[in-house]
Amino acid sequence: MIAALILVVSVAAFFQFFLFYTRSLLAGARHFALSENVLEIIGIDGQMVQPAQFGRLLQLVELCPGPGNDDMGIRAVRTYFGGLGLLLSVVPRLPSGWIARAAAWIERERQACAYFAAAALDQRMAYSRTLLSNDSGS
Amino acid sequence: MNAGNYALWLLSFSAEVYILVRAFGSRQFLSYLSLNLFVAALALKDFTCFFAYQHYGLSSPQYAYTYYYTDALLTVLMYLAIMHLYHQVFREMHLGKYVRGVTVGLLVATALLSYLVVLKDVGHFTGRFVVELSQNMYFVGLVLTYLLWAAVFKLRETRTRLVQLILALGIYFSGTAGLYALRNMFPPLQQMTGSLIALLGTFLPAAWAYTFTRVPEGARLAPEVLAPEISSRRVPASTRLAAGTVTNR
Repeated sequence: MIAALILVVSVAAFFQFFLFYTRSLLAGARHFALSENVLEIIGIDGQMVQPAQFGRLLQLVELCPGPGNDDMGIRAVRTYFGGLGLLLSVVPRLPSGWIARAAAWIERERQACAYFAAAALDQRMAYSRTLLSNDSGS
Repeated sequence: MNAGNYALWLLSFSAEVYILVRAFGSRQFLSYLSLNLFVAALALKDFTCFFAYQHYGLSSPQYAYTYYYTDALLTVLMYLAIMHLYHQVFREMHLGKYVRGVTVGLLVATALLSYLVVLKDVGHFTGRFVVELSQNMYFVGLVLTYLLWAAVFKLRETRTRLVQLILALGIYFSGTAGLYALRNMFPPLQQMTGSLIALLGTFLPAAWAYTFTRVPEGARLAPEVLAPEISSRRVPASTRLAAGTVTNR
């Protein structure tokens, strides 16, 4: 009985903490200004990084060598993005009053994930450029 | 131990050593003394368990007892780490002695409760006791972390480092307590829950290493922007999390 209670409470708390933690990572990337290079590479037209670009951005991130200290954040955001995709498939089953609000919120979150991935790519590219310039300088 | 478990062990141990080296290098070891002591104990536990595995094997009772008893001792140090975080959050309110008293009281009460729960099952005393104790201690850790998180929200604590350290701890405690409870209810799931607990054990040092590396000491973040805003009420643009607007540099 006690174990069942602990299980239920822990699962609820786990999802809540994970949500807050991932949003804190996304909030950290929010003020990051993307460089011209990254905008050009990811081919953004208009003013938004779209959720549909998330997968491609992560592929580019994986191709770009990094300092190795951002993997944990990228994995957490990737998991969150996957969870949001699952939620999106549940949205049509919600009461009609909730559908539009929930869909809009999920879309905003997915957009924040895509922006995080673009910022990670930008930072890795900057790191690679520094490495290259150090190599050519020495 | 398969390749996956080796990789987890290596990742976890490397992250722990990295945190300690970085803390010494940046002269912040004393600023986060309890957290660093906990990380040092975590590294020692990983090393001891690896040693026990190499000498006795994964399915040996020696390995099992090394794992569970070092885990129980580690949880005590984890309480000290939580106390440190409470001190950080309440440092301007001078509530240190109350925090200490409540934490020690909870620790003793948890051990006593676990002892009483398994007392009636003397035949499996030691084995059941360690699982029951771990489940309860991680759950108390979860409750303490949840209260701490509530205080962060209430007091509008804005230090991003502190916020992320607490949230990572919350993920670790809630996940581990839930998995121990699952194992307590369904013992045949031992292997699956064991792998997931190992995964969470890797997550915590990796998340803390990420925070210490990527989040500057002075970074600030209003915790209210982390709460999901699903209702139709408009959130002020200055506090909204939704990103995606590109600013050319």
